[in-house]
Amino acid sequence: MTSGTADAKRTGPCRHRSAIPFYLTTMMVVIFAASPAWAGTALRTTASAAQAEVGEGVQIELSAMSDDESPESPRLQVPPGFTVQGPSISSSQQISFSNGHFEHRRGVTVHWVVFGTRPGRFVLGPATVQVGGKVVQGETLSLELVPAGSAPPKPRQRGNPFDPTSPFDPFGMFPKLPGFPNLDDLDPPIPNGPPEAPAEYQVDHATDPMAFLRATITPAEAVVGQQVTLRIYAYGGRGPYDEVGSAEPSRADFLSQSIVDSSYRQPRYVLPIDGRRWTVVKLREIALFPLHAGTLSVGPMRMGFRGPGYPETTPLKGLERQSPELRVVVREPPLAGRPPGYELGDVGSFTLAAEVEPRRVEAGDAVAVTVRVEGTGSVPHHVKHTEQRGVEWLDPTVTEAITPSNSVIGGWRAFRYVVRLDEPGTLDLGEATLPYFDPRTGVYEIARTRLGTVEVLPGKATAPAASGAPAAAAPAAPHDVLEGLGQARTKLGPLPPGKRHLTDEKAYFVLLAGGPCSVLALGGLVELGRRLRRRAARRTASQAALARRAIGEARAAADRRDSASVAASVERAIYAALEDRFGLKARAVLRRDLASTLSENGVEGALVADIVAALDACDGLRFASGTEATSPAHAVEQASSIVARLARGVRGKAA
Amino acid sequence: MTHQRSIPGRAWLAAAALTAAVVLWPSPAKAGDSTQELFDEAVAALHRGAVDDAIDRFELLADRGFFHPDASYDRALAYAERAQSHGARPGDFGRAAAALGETLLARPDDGDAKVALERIRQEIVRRRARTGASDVELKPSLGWAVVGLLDEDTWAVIAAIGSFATCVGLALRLWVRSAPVRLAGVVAGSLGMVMLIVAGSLAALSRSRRLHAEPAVVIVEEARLLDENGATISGAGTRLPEGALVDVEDRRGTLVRISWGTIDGWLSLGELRLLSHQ
Repeated sequence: MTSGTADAKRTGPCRHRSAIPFYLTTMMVVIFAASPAWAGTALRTTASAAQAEVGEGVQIELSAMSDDESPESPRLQVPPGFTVQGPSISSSQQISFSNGHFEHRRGVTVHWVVFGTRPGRFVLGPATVQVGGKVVQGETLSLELVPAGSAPPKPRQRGNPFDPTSPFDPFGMFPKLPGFPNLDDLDPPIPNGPPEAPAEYQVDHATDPMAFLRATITPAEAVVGQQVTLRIYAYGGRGPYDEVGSAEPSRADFLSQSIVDSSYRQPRYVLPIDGRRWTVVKLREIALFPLHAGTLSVGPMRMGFRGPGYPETTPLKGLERQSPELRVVVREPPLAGRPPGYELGDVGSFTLAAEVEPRRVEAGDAVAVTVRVEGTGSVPHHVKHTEQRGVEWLDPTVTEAITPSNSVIGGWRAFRYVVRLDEPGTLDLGEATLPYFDPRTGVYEIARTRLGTVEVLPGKATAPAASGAPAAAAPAAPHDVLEGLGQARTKLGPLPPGKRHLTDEKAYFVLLAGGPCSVLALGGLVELGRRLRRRAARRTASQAALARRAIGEARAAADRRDSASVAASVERAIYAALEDRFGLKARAVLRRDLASTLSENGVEGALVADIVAALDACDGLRFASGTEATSPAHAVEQASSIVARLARGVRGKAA
Repeated sequence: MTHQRSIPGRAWLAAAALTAAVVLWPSPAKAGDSTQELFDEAVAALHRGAVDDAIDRFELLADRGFFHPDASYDRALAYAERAQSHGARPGDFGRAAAALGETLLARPDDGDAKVALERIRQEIVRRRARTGASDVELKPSLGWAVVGLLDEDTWAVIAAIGSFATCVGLALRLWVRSAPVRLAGVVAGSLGMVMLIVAGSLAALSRSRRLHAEPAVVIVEEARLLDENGATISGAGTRLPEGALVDVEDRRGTLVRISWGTIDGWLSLGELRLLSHQ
């Protein structure tokens, strides 16, 4: 609240002082400077007043646009005794589309405030900039200084809370001295307080506690060529401020035309936001015309707030802030109902008017046809006219006056044609037309104007033909590039069948690589099967398999109660298992040496005893009788156990 | 009785409504007729020498998505005629070349279109030479030149033959015991594999180009190549003449990435006309 009160105090005097200098000056001297020194660079120098009082600030503005590099190093020459404040520089870019080419222009707008110290008539300038290392200069300005207080009173401009041109107190910082009358009090007071900010300045909340930029674009959806308006506002929460170090928003996808190009001449308002008082000013208002369809973006604008309450983020650039990036959805006007001759971008509301002079000529002479397009929107660069043989329309001379009015771009463009008429008789020139799309109604319209008739008297053009002069005397006809070729095709022939390519078949590339891969895979499978069969055969012939087979045979023999066969099978199984386990051909070992031999080969004692016992049991089955002999079933189980234990030993060893 | 009499009345009403709906409903045939009418009007305008009017109508046809090689041919004639008249506009010959390019894309054996395109290109070269502009003949890169040696389908057939030979060679090598036959299999398989890899790759490249690169023609007197930031590139071969045929490979805003011969770069979309095709 304290801050708000202080701001209010500052704002009041500032508003009073705004009655003093250049903002109240009514006359603007505008000089368009020719630029012979450097082609492609245009300079414009303006002064806020042609006459001022001694000590009064006069603002000088230099606008420089270049096709090449950006102008830089601006300088202003002033007579001795003058003091200069500034410069304050803002950059800008301009992109235009013409004849299929994008033209990119860069520029700067420079402001100085000059103060004179003695009366007289002075010449200011020329202001100069450097473009690509070359110095380009504008023209000089004439300024008349009169003694202080002798200038006629100037009308007050409301809404400017501070006076940037005051040499003594540009930001209203000086306190009122006790005992001295405030100079501002000499001005008649403004009865109604600060002007109320229009609705477009109002915001619900501040996005930054100190200062911020707000950008709006309307409408957010448009068609190619329709005007959308970009507005950028600056909000300062710490009292008055100045705009410094501005960088213009990029807008490469649009044609643009400035409506407000500087905040210097814009009214400033004080409005409450979130319970605080904010100073707001419109920085830019730019009419944009989309060049193509799509979601087009408008880049952020950067600006420095310079003032007593704003700490500098960068030296001499004030408190820097930037506006958000904006997007516009752009579509082409609908195809439905589009008239022939409509050119993309002709959007707005237009009327045509035409004038033809004279209405009576001799054949071979020309008449002047002036067609004037007037309306709002991007005023087209062309109109259509009726084509007919014997009437030759030369390229038009174009004059125009395109200006913003209530934030809408509009005006007129006049095309002055020289039309040569060769055929005698009463000739109807037909009409001039302009198809356009009206975004308000959403339909196409065609602006038309009748050109009327012209009476063409027999004259010089027909004389040679009438006299039968030789054709050789006439200028040679231009060479026809397509001479001898067929005429225009009046019928649409059959369409060639759509060509289907082999590679468009989904199976093509699969088969291409799949064939050899399939053969390779098949070969691999065959080889795999072969190896499996080989391995199976080897397994069939192994000692372990023999042992298992012998156990099976022993069981079968036991079932038959064939003791001899059981003994033979059990012996085969045990010997095969031993050979499989130890590589020991135990059949060749004497029975009495068998135990020691097995022990030497690492067979554990219990197993050795079981093996020997089993073999002894086999002898018993062969030779013993009655109760002495072991039962065949027991012998088989014993052998089976031995074979299994030996096999486990093999697996355990392998593991 | 009353009820029975009302049935024929309702039937008549229904029949009348159905007839009205059929007559008044805008059918596809009706839309086709309007396209045909627009074409007829354009041709009539061309015959009476109103080339601007003809061009407007042909362009409106193109805007509506209508494509026909004969309409493109007539559009080319209109542009060529205007290019040689007092009302010539920059890029008219380029637009004529683009229209003929469309005709030839759809109907490669159109003799008149071939001759017309050749003459228009010669005229562009002649005019550029007259104004002192150096014309740059750019041949495609070696890789694309090889791809362009044969038609895409021809490469595809060669690759298929290579694949078959590879299969046979592998089979002989794997399953035949006779040494001479196995040797023949190795040779056939090796050659087939080379054919398969080379021709298959070229067919795939050719297909990729057909599907992903859009042909376009320069329709300004001279287009300067840009970098991806939109800054102009200087040097030899960075100025594309009117009528130059390029391949558009990518788009970014108003810029398109093109390849022209061995050079890649960016151009403004407004300097090109993309060729419509079926």
